[in-house]
Amino acid sequence: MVNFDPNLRWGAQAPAAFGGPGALPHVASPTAPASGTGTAKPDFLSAIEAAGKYVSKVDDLQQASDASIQDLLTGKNNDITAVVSAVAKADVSFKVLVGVRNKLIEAYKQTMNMPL
Amino acid sequence: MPQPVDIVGLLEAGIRAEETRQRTIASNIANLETPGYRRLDVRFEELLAKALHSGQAAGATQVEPEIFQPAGTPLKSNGNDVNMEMEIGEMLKNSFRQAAFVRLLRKKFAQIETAITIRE
Amino acid sequence: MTVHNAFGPVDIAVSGMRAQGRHMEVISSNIANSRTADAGQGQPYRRLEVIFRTEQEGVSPVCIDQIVPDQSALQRIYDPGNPKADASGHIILPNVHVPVEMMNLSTASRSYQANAAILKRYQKMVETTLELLR
Repeated sequence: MVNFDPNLRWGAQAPAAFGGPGALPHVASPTAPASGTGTAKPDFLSAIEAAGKYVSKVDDLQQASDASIQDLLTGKNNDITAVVSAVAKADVSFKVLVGVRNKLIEAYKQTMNMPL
Repeated sequence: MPQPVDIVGLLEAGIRAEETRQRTIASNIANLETPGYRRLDVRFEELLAKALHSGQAAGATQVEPEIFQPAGTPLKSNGNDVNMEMEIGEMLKNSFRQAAFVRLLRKKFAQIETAITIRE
Repeated sequence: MTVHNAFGPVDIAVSGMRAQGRHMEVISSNIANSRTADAGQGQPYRRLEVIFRTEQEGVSPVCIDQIVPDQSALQRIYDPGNPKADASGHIILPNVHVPVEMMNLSTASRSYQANAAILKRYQKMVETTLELLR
């Protein structure tokens, strides 16, 4: 299971899906390990891993946007355009991430609700 | 340089500083013709930068803007040093910055809301 | 692209407006004193000119370097009835030509308007940029 870094700075408490209390339990691979090819990964797992890599990119963008806001506040850089573009980029990527998270939660719920 | 910086608090302090600056600009414009009146300015950005670099980032949100009288400005014959175009320029810059800070603050709060909302 | 200008568009446009405002003061002084035969110490008023310069290299605000008297010749008018006329009946008047001053005034005021237009356009630009944050 991908390790979401609990030290990431979010605006509020980290949602449960991201390493906070009540993290997602380990998802078993849908294909039996003995029969599947060694290199091909199941799509669900690889989607979660891709989301994990994306999280650190979003955090970088957030830090860059916070730094640019700080520069604007201290008068180091008076270019409003640069600040706005950094903040907009971070915001869009954050929204994408939240959308992915919501979809993952939905998919998980659907999986858990499947009758055995 | 991962500093645990409270961006929301800093933005609020910045908005307070711009409000103070707005008052001083209004006072300058009102006293455009008053003999002996010297224009007032607000010092905030340097204080904030100093507080942030001093290693005590927590105190940075408490930085208050200071009103002061800049020295060495060219005086008119009646001892007044207020220049209309300069005050208008300051007013424009002040309103840009305040609008930017308010929007950024709103954006931050909207991000928090997005994070805690799980669409059912 | 990290372009960090110490002076933003607002500061530069405001400096242009201030410089042209002073220029107009000088022009109005010239026009008002176009017939002043005695500007102190028995000398007639001499036309004043404004010299502009930039404050730094490259992209920079403008400021007034000096306000210097125009060294061109003063006018000698034949007016024997004037109490200040000299032995030959001439008086010395300032070297101010009102049509020239009016032309300079129109240039200065157009320049002032152009700087004010820059301020207004820049205001619109920043508002549009801030719309991205909505």
